[in-house]
Parts: sequence; C-alpha cells; structure tokens
Amino acid sequence: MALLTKETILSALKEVNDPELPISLIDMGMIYGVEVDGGDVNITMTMTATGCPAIDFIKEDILEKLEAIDGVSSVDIEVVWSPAWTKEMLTEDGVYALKALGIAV
Amino acid sequence: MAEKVKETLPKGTEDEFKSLLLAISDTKLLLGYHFGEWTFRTPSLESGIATCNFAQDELGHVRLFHGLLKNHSNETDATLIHERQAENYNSISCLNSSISSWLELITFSAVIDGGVTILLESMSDSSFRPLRERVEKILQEEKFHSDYTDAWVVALANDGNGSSEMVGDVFKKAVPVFASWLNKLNASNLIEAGVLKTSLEETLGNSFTKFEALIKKAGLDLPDPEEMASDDSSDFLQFPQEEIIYSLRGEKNEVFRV
Repeated sequence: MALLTKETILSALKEVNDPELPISLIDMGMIYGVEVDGGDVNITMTMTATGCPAIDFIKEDILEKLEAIDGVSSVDIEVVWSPAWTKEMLTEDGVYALKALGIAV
Repeated sequence: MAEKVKETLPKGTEDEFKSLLLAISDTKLLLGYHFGEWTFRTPSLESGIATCNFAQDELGHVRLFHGLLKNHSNETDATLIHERQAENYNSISCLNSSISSWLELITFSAVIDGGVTILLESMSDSSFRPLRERVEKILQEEKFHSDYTDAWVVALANDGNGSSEMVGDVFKKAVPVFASWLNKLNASNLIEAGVLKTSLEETLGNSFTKFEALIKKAGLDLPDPEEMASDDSSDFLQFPQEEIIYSLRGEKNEVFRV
C-alpha cells in the first residue's frame, strides 16, 4: 500500500468543488491546512460566509472524496473563522475561474 | 507583557458569558427573521437580495454563538431553540413583533445591528480565543450591513414627503430600547478577565457616537442620542411574539421535509 501523503490529499481536494461554484475548495482558498498522520487526516478549513447553507454538503463531499482514498482511515474536518476568508485567498486559477463566470474579483 | 489568550472561559465568567451571548444571539435571530420576512417586500430587487443575504448572515452569526454556548456553556439545540420559551428571550424589544415598513426595518437595523456591532467590537481582542476568532469573521460581514443600512437611512431621510420626520421617529424609538437592553447586561467579570475589552458604559457611549454621526450625515433634526435614550416611552412587546418563535424553531417548515 502506498504511503499516504499530504500531496495526495491536496490533489484529491482539488477535485472537490464549492457546491455553489464550479471551483475547487483549494482554488477558493478555503483549505487552511492538511495534516496526515498515518491514515488519519486532519483538515482545517473555513467557509466564505458564516451563514453558508452548504457547510454540511461541503463536509460530506470532502469526506466522500477522502475516505475513498486507499490508506485513509479517518478524516477530521475543523472549520475555523480566523483568519476570515477574503477574495485575496483565491488562487490564481480561482481568480481566472471566477472571472470566466462573470464574477468581479 | 502581552495578555495570554485562553482556549477556555476564565473561571467566574460563565454566567455572564452565557447571558451576554444569549442576548446577542436572540437579537440577531430576530434581525435575521425580519430581514427574511422582508426579502419579498423590498423597494427593489437589489434590496431583496441584500436583505436575503443579511438574513443569512445574521443566522450564521447566531450559529457561531450557539456553537460557543454549546461548547462552553452546556447548552444544547433543545435548550437554545426547540424548548426555549418566548419569555426567556432577551432580544432588543423593537424586534419582538412585526415591522411595519421598509423605513422602519432599515432604521431599526441601523441602530440595533449597528449598536450590537459596537458591542462585538469590544470582543475583537478578547482573551478568549474561540470568541475573538468568531467575532473577527462576524465583524467582516457586519461592515456590509452598516454600509448598506446607513446609506439607506440617508436616502430615506432625504426622500421628502415627511420621510425625515418618520426616520427620526424610528430613531427615537430604537435608541432608548437599545440603551435599555445594554444597560441591563452585566459584564464586569468578563471585562476583568479580558474577555471584553471595553466596559458596557463605554460601548454605549461609542454607540451613541456612531448614531450621532449617522444622524448628522442624514441631516436629521434630532436630540443627541444620550438625550433620546433617556426617554423610553416606547410600547414594544417585552418578549418575541409566539408566531415569531414558532417560525424561528423551524416547525412551520416541517411539512416541507421529505
């Protein structure tokens, strides 16, 4: 069995989109940290808004994606609010994707 | 030496913390309710989108504070929402019943949401990390509420047809009930422990300064806020209407669940 790495997790998260926009959570800048300890994965992330109605969906999508990876035994997701998300946290790909959708950033 | 930031509530502050956060949450819950109710009655499509967004924000803020109360005050969804009775709410009284006009909604929001935000600012450098981190995000969102409602107050006050007097009348109702609500809170232990950085008296003074600036910007002919606060002859319900509590619990929407 291949060793589980942080890069594997980040690569998988690149395929999990914000449910309201076809942009990955990575490119949205919502993933603040990834720790891998054996098969245990800890994700620290934020939401763009406190009233985000999709919090549970986002967590479920992350769990579904990561738990399907060979070697992952547990996934813990901690949602934090500091630093508060701003559009400056978008990656370059995220900025292009939003512009392509007609959203000014 | 820098003050140590704590992950747990300092001893002796638990009761004040619970009362304070409940009072803020109750007020924000009611604000969220009214913004939601007004989403389809606004003067423009853009206003509807804004009020819908504000409703979402206010309910999001309640979610963050309820999370703190669940983690640090042994509260549960049952005690916070489902089994909570109207007489246990500590919302600011002008929000306890339906709001009759867009002008009233906007002016109440400018005063109440604006005043509560001043109170939250005194937590932005709190010694209690879970609180300060949540407040950082809340203040980021509240900036938009303040910009929006203040702009509307100025526009409405200059709309002619007696609108200036009407906005002034709502100010005269809202400022005293905000001051009365704040004056009844107790935070001496929280201030001593650094959970709050500003006394409630100072927060009230800062709120008056904010209201005064808005009154001036809107060109309203009103007494200064401190003087307005001393005349609480308003006749609002002490507790939220049962119909509102019923809606807030989500029971009204149970029938739509699959």
